[in-house]
Amino acid sequence: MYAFWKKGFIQSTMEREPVIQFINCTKLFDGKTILRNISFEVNEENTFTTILGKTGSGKTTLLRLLAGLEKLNEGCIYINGKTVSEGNKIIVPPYERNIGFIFQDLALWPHFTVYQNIEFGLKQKKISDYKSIIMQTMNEFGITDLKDNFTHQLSGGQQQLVALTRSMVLQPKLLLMDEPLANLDVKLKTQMRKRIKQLAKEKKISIFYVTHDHKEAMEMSDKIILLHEGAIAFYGTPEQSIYSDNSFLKEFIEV
Amino acid sequence: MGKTINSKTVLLLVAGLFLAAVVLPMGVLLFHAIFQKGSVAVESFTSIFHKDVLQSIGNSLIISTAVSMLSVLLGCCFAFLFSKATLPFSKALRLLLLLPLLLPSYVICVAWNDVWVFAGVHKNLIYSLPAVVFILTTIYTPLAAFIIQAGFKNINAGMEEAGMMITSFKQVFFKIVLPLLRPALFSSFILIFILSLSEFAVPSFLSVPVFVTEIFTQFSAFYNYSLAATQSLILTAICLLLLFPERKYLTKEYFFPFGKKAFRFRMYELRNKNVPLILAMLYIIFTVLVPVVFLTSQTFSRAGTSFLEIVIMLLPSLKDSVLIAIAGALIVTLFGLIFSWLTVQFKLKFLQTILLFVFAVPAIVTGVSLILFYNTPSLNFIYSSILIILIAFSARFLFISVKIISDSLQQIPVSFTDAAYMMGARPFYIFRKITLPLLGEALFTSFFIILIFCLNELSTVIMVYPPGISLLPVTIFTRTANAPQHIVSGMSLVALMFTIVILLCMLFGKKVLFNQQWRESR
Repeated sequence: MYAFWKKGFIQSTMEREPVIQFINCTKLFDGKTILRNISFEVNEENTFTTILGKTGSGKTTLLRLLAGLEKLNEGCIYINGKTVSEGNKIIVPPYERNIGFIFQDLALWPHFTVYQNIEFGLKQKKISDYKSIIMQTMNEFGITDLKDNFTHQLSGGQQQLVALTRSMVLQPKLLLMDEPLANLDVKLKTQMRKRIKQLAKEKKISIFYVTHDHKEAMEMSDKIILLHEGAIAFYGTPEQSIYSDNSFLKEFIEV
Repeated sequence: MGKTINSKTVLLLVAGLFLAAVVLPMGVLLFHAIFQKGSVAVESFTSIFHKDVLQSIGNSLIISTAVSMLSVLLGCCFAFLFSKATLPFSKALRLLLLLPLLLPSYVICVAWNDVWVFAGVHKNLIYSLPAVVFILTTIYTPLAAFIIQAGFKNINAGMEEAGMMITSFKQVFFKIVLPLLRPALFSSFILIFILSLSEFAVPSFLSVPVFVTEIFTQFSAFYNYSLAATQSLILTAICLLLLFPERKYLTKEYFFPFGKKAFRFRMYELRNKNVPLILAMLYIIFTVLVPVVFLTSQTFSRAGTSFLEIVIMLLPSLKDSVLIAIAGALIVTLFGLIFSWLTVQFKLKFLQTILLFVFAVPAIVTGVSLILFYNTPSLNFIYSSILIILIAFSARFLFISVKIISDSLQQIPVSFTDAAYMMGARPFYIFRKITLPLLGEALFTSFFIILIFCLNELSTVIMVYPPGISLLPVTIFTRTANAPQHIVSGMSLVALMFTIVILLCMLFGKKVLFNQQWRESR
């Protein structure tokens, strides 16, 4: 069954280049298996993929592997057909993968102003005339007035927007979001969900979104990956998840 | 992320310092302790059963036990008042209480001597074991309060509140709070026990024979290096043995619970604030202000050498002391940063445990081991220069610096550096732009605290200071034997004022340098 799947998989990769591919990826921490033999692919661009699972199921680790912040123990990761991680080697470092990452705590540097937070990445990329790019992006996200504020002076929603702007200003092709709405109230969460969905559409970027909230996953995603104890328990569209007879998926949704 | 920052160079530096300051000198000490003229030094070991030596060991143990018990008891009361109760003026009181810990112990000793002489206390009582216990208790109570206070702040309000839903405050305190406070109580007891056991200045000034003064006498007066080395080894073994059960017992706990704070901690409204406030103020007036006032009055009350003349007399020592202490504080803070980075980045928790064991080695033993190792023709260039003092400072105070810096470093989320790395910043740039500014306050604090410790350190420098160098603590300590009382008091007052000036510089500097807007959130 596996050989057949693998053969089909190889054939499919020869035909076209999936945006993201994980092949037999395994990750261990201190001898404990966090992710076990993970294989999946995202074929189309601008796909909103949600990684769903209970606490400790390996969601964040999967995201960090894709970002290149962690090394694999076994397996391969491809982005647009290019090997980015193989075995315990990082082939393409994170900053060359053209990926944006929104961390769960947002990781806004407290000693920088909003402007300096956004400016940091552009300075690293040595982009000329970055000031106009910053102003334009800030304008797009409606945070121009906040540019001289320190991040602790902002509300939760404003902080989210700054984190989004900081990532989007670098024009990534792929945006990774690690439970970015976890600390927001229900109303703000709903607003931000809409904003993110709209952003994905407008900017034509693929998003990998980690959450443990299945309703959020159903509402936002094109594809859902359900992780259970480090393995993929389900991979498909939200519609497929409704009609699936996967016992763990059913149990997860019921809980 | 960032594990590639020239790791080999860093590891070499760390290993070099460890070899130079600890491993090799202690190795030589061990050799001298065990072997004498090619055979096992049985005599040195049996000599500890000599009546006088046994008495000095007994005195040391009595002093350490009494001081640590009293300090923990008093420290626990202060810690509760300062961290769990809404006591007025608690910030000012906390600062005043801390003063004896930061002042040189010989200064406090001179000050209390002035008080007791003025009060007409009999000589037999001044130069006695209880007097040593009293002075050391006033010195180490703030340390206990400081550690236990951090322990109190570690307790999440929810745990106390859950208990208070079922039972009385008294039950909650004894059944929930105290057991949760156990690591802090235990840590402070052991630490104060070890520090009192290693204390040299106070028992020496009050002529109370203890094990440390016995080692000093054997080494400096009788030049019996082998016996001094054997006795040093025994003293070190006692200190380290004390740490082992502590480490085993609290294996998963932090030795000092600083840096970890509960999400929300509970404060208690005192029914009657006046009684604890008056008691706390009386204690602080009695243990901090009274000796300082008497030290000052003793200095200015006698005719003869004026205070200005005393200051001029001390200027060369002040100059040498300050320069060496600044160099020491810079080196120790730099290595503190490196060690902290290694501890946090590579999760090498054992490094802190090793440094804790090094810190537990009594100062006098560090001095003896450094002399035995460096007093050789090939290493004389170190022995005869200030390098020997800087090495001694590194061995003594690195643990404190690492503790301050690593606690701060641990609080910087990994995502801060990961985010910068994702944007293409190189590790050193990330360190310079993200980590270092966030660590600034810890580095600043470490520098000043180590500076104060270096300036006031007597036990080690009295053993290792090279010729041509005049250090403040050594100058004052040697003058206590032959100079008139008011000159000794005046010199002590200079040392005290100097320490207070540095403390004020630190507090003021912190306010000016680290008062940026963004820190309001932290």
